[in-house]
Amino acid sequence: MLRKLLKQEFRATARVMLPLYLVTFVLALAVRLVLLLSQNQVLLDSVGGRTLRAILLGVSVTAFVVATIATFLAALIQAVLRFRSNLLGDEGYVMFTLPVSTHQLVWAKLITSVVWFLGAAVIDVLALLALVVNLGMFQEFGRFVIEVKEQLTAYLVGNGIAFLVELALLFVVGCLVLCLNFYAPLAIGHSFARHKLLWSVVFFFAIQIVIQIIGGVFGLIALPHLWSVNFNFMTAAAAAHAMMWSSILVTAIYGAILYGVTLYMLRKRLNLE
Amino acid sequence: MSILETKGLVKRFGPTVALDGMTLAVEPGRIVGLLGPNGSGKTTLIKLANGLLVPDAGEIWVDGHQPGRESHAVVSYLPERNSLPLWMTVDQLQDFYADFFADFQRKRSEEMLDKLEIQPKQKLRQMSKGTREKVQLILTMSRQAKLYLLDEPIGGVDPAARDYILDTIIRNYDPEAAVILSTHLIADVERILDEVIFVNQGQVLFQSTVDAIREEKGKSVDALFREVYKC
Amino acid sequence: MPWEFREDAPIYTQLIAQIQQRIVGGLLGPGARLPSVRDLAAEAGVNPNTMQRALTELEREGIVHSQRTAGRFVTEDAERIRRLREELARQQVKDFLEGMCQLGFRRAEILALITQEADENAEGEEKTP
Repeated sequence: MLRKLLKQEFRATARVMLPLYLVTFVLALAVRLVLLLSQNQVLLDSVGGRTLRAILLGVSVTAFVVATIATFLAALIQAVLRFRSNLLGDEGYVMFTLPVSTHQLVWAKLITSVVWFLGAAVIDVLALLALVVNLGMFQEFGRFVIEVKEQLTAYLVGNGIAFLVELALLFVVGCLVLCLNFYAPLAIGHSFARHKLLWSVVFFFAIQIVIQIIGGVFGLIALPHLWSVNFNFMTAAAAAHAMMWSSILVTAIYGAILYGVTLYMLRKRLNLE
Repeated sequence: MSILETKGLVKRFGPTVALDGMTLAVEPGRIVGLLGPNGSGKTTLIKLANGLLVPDAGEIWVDGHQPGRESHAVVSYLPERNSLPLWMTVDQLQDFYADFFADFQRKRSEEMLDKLEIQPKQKLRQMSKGTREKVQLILTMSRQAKLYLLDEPIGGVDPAARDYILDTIIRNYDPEAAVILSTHLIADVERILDEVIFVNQGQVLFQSTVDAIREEKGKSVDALFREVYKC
Repeated sequence: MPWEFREDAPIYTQLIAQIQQRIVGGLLGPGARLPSVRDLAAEAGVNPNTMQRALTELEREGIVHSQRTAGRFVTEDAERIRRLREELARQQVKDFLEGMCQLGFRRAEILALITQEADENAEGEEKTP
């Protein structure tokens, strides 16, 4: 059933995300075209040519930068809006009466969102490559990759790949938590009979403040302690791994709490209009 | 075995008591009218039966299960408000229903849509409110469910649409299944009902068959309703 | 012939009466096949169980009979239909007489009135064939 829910989710969200990905990529090509044109001597020498070039370059680069940011932003916005309209709005009447579990409903949203975040990352990197790449650069990039790998290997005692995996894992967990940061307060806010959105906003900030306080207290009390104890007999690489894993762990625990809250609210306190 | 059974069901919303110890049972093969004025607890009961709300006290069974995944598979629900995603086409909606409900009869649904000349490629967004309601009714009635829960299916529709809805309910009648429809417009639906359940202030006033009421009281259910709920 | 229902009587008895009328009036001839319960119910706009109940009652009275697979048929027994026709007519007359009694009419007055009305009706029919 999760597979079917995912199919439905992607059907609903691809309408927005895929065109946006495409626009980003096209804009990258546009910037590149402007760059090529601006090297044209005739254009440069002509009256107003330099101004035109500056304007074109300014506009296209700005549009491209906006588009790359927009891919991430859109992934987040669709994650939030989709959760609200599909589960907590009128469509909730259909979704919560499907023969699926609440876990599946929430995970379908989470997985779809993570895929779009990853997609945004991939498409932005590809667009950037399309913008700057030429054959020489390709070779240079290849050398760069090898060098980075060697450096990483050297520094992290053969754990370069592991480090990248940890980074990717942190990215995924981070995306999940980012979504849940909105899901939990939305689920709480919409359990109220009235002013559902207002309550959602209130609980969003309430949760953030609580997290800041807990984080602050944890930082004050626990971290200096950990620092002084652990890092003294750790290699730099091991310390970095420890940092990564503890970040992943802390983020995951935070996410699990938000997930628990979201699920409880949807199961026990659902209050569709 | 009853397809829907409740015992002492209680549901509160803050200080308001929506259901105040509601006890009833509905058997398969019946078309049952859940009758009562606005705010008497009809929608709350239907939402509880669909697992969209959790009771504060009492018990509710749908086909022997607590409302949840298992019961959703055998209950076909028409909510009070149109709740299908507007961006979807009729075809996509049929895919969606076929995907999730093993009892969805695509052929039946296609026939009914075809009769109303609703284009399968049309998006819900492009349709009038009335047509959207008919699409949702058709999808709901095209399932071979054990229990159909129709919340105010004829509220706010014109007489032609009302006749269409009632006709659809009769034509899809299944002796193995029960249909429960809530309404406060009794005169319009009386003839298609086996039984009526009168509810008021979250409790069942009485449950009887339409012809028993007419035989014993010498008046229609509608007339009785007006008498019982006289302001 | 549209299906019509009064408010003050059970629906199934009204269904029985209206099906009987259709049979006696020739709309459903002897041996005619009846539509399925569902179709009949949809046509009359009534609950299928109520229609089933009416048909069962008609079966009990020997006016219709069902064959396991082929469906339900009006009886081919002309004598049974003739008897039904008479029963219905008698009921009509009984109801009529009851009403006239309540209006204070006597037997002779009633008969005179009937003859008079019947004659007028006959003249009217001759003028507009």
